[in-house]
Amino acid sequence: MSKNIYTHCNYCVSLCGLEVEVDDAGEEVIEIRPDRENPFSWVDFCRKGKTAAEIRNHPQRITTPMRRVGDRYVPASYEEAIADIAQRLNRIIERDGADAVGSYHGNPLGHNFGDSNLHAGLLAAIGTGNRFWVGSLDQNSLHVVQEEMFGCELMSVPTDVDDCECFLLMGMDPAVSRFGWIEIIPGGWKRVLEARDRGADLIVVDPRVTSSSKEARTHVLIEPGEDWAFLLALIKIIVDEGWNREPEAVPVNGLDAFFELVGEADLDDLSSRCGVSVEQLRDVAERFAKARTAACVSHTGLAHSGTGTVGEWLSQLLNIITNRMDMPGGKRYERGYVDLPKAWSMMAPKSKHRSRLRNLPTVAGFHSVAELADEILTPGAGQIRAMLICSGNPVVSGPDGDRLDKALSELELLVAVDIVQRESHRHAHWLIPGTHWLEREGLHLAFGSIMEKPFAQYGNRCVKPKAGVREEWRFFVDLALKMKRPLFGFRGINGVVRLSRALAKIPGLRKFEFGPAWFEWLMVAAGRRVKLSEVKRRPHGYMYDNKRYGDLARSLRTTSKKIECAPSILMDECRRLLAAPMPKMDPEFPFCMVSRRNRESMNSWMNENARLLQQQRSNQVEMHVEDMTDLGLEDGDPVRVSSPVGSIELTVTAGTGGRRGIVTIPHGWGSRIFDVNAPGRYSRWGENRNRLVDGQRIDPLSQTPLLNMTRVRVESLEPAARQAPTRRAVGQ
Amino acid sequence: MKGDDAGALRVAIVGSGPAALYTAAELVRVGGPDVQVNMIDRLPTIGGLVRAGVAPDHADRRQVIDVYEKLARSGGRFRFHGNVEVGRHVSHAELLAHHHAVIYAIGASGSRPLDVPGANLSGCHPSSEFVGWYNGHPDHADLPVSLDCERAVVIGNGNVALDVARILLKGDDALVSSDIAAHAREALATSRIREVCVLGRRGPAQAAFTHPELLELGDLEDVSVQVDPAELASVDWRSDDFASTLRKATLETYARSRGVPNARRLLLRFMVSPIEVLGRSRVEGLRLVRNRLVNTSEGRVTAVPGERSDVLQTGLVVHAIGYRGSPPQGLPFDTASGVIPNCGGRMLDGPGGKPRAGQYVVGWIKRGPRGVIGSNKLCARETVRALMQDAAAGELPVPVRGGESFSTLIHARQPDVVSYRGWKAVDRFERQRGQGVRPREKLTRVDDMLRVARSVA
Amino acid sequence: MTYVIVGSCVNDAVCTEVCPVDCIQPAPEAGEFATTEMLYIDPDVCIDCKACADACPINAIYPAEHLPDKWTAYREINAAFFRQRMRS
Repeated sequence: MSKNIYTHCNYCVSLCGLEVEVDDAGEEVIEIRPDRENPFSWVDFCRKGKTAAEIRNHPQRITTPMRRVGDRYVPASYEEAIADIAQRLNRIIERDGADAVGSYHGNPLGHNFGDSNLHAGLLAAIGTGNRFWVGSLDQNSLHVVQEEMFGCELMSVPTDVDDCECFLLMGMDPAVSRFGWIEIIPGGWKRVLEARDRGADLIVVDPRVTSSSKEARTHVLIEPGEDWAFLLALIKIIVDEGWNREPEAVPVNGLDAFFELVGEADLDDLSSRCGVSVEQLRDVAERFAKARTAACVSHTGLAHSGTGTVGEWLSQLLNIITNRMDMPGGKRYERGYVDLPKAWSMMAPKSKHRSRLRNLPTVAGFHSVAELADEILTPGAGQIRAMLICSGNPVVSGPDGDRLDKALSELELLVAVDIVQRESHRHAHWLIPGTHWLEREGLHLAFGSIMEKPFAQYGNRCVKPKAGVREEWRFFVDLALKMKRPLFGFRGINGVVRLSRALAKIPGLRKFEFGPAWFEWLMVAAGRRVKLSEVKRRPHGYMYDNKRYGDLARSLRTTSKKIECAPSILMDECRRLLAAPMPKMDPEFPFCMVSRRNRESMNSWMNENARLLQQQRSNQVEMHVEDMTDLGLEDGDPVRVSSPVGSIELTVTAGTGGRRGIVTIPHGWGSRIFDVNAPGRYSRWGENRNRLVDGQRIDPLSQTPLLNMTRVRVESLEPAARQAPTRRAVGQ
Repeated sequence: MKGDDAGALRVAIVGSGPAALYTAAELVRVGGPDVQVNMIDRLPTIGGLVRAGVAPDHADRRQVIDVYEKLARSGGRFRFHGNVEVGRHVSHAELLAHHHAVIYAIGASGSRPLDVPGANLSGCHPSSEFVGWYNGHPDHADLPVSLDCERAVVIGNGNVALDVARILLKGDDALVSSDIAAHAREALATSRIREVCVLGRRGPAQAAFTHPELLELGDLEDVSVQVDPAELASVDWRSDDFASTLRKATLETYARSRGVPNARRLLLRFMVSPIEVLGRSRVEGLRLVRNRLVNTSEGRVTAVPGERSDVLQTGLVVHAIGYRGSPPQGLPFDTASGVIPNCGGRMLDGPGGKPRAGQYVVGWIKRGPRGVIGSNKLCARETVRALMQDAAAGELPVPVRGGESFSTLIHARQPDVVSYRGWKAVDRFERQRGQGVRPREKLTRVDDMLRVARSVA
Repeated sequence: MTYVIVGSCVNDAVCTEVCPVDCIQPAPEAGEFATTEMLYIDPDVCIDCKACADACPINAIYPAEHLPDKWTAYREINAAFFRQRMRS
């Protein structure tokens, strides 16, 4: 027989409510369906969620700690693993200092608050400043802007979709990837289309023709990386025409200084930069400014370019100067049910650490992945000699993967915590099992404050972790205890943890064991908005209040308690961009490489799931058909795509239009997944296009590499090709 | 599986219709870059019956070719050798010598013959030729078609029969934006045909058409679709079959409608069979006999001819009573079922015989001419699964010749071989000729295709 | 709302591979698939995710509220397929 568990998916921020049918023993998932009773989210339900059990039951899943012996892995117990890792880490720290231990973690860890928090606790115990995460490959631009403007690195203001009458969508393809990013708006795209059908204006800005752009009233074909120029042009037109309005709902500071900068810009120059005619700029500006309600929304397309931070800032300013900020039908701040800055600091504690080589500050407490390889390879005091990689694959997600792979091979100690052994883990000395969200429970304390509605749902555990697998947070805590370094850097805390564990052995006192539940309870209680017990009592989710407007003004953490519109680092960077000459086309690398999302792929993982990606098992290079004709290319021809730092071989396919001079190659492919029980055996699908991305060039503020702006050339390998591109191979 | 220098599995696919393309796409899907495909077709074009059989007013269905062609190409190891005939330019043995596996996807594009006296009269066409004619198939571009009569008769009532009836009754405004061959469009523009009779041997419940095709007849402009209510009266409809329920309702609607005066007519007649095609040098009429239905002991319904016969005057007869495959030279063939003997796609040396190593079939030549376009997909997956199992088990013969030598051989035997690029040149040329008015304007002569293909060689 | 498969369906069935709620029948694994005339979407289960419409190689799937005139009958035909199944 079976039973249904209600929870939510944790792959993406749509957080779709799920009905998970499991066997009576609670060991296997029978089927996953959307929970149509969830009042917040289920319509975005997709095959990733439907086939989640395939990942949980991955044939190469690591279910016990594995130690590298020679060229193979040998099972070991957690005790052996922790003892060895603790001893080796301590030795390295004592010899070289805490910075000699680095860490990297990826998105799946970030989706679990408890694991993230205790991971941060472990890193604080180690005391390293060399912390890295996926932020510099994803949302750092947003952290920088939110910190500067609102006073907290995470203070998103979600789009208030249903009453919006003019959507200006930039750097996003919600028809494929849903509406969320660092704002949680389930069913958002559907509701945008409904609004459009009721008469709302829909403008999509994208260099590619996408499923989303096809639904728009206007599709602006922008030059990649020049969103900042487009936005500045819109603002300039709006201000010059007097179409701007006073922000009603939020106090602002620095608008005069900002308007001065706007005055320095030249409209024709901005138009040339972004490749959008002055006429179209005027049209979009007028439509946006004059709409009764409107929202400018900017997602990863901006964040992945070298100008993304300025772009993100200007996108917020466009909303502010047209009075959309914290207004109905614009952007609305949801204060959630916990102290957001506190919750955020538990996941991403601030750090004043500066990187050894490039002397760069942290963003949200982490350094840029672009620096990681150098920090490992370059000898000297503070050189990274050990790494802990959790739920991440930076060799594939980050730039210049070949170099990072080489760096990882030179570490004295590499520990990887993950469900399977991926490309970045191939030199690991220790593989520690990771869990799947189907096997975990918890409340994500930060998510509640970036949702479009007051909603809370406790994520229930659906099945037990595979036999012998411990949750990641236990491993982090155990490691800190074994190293005899205080979790979170708090003296005495380790003793409390031990005591709580001793207590928990007494029947009836199990819940006193130290763990994520403590933090959940404390933070929710301190937030005083909901009771944790009330949340847990509602497995379908708890819409605990009605939406209200005006909380952003009360929540700002800037010194002035106002939105800072003209922070100096952003003003300076914007002026620098304005003064820089227009990028000249390099005839050696005439194309601009951008990425895209595919519906059934999270880009950097799940591509190996045959039940998910049924039709096509590799990525390709998408080009404009006229560019292909110029190069004499036919659909399916093998090509080599090269940048100054690397090259890959793939087949080419014609895209659906859009700007010429662009090649689209989805990132995240090409990672090997190794069979830890069969040395030399692996599977691999597609090619890693981030090998073409230079780790040296980054957005100076977000420190994000030019993931969406790398210049490349494309050469035909047909008919000269002797050897087929190696997109997948099963090692013998 | 022992190797080849690049370690690739080399597969030849004979044919380029949906079965062939589904197979090539499936090989990429499960084999990735380790599988190299050489696709061979007698014509310079890709598409098989999707290009030449699907009716011009259903041309959106042809897009399935585009999608699977792209998928087949996406692995980077797909080559097309068009204008190459197996049995003429290259032999079956030579295919085997150059590949680990050969898959025949040659379909069943011929017509079952009309086995009555007079069937060879001018003006009596098998559907394969008539459909080929209006779809621009080079083999049938010169079919002498006369539309200079008031009544046309279609024998058979499957979807092909309805296609023919529709095309004969569609006005030029409907056909002008289709991809019908130009010569057929011109002929139809001056057609005198006012009535098309579609004759089915058995009853309404046994007719081979599908409901969507039946339903769409009602959309024909200026055409009354007529069904004799008496022929519906005593039908034994199987009530548990969904399609039957729809069919009954739609036929009853046609039976009830009184028709529009002066409209052209499409008559659906059941339980009638032709016994003789009448005329001296050309078709002038058709002698028909009424049938009655009899349930056999195996639960089938069969038609038994009665005594009465009538004559139906007509100047054009098209018989659409089923497709038929023709045996490729030198390969085993089961005449009764019209397939190459096989088990799950593995070619056998005779019905129930032993598997022939490295030799496979897919599509209609494997299953018989039944099912729709998409039916070939599961068929292709089954054949590819068998092939990959045999590969993993080391049961595929090692090709004696190296990889590149196949292209060399083909070029030597057929200097006018059309490559994939050549086919795409033809494809683009046809689309451009459509001038936005129609999806494409087909080239109907092989020489014209070769000329275009050569321009990119 | 729901999506609707129209009469040009050729049983390619890639839609059944991408549907997250298994609302397209008959599925290729079902015996009925071999003889079905076309595929149908269950309007009571469909979650309007559009995966099927995007995947269909011949654009034979439309949202119910945007069915072209020539295909409007199919909304009821898709629904009727599932109704008669429930009865049997």
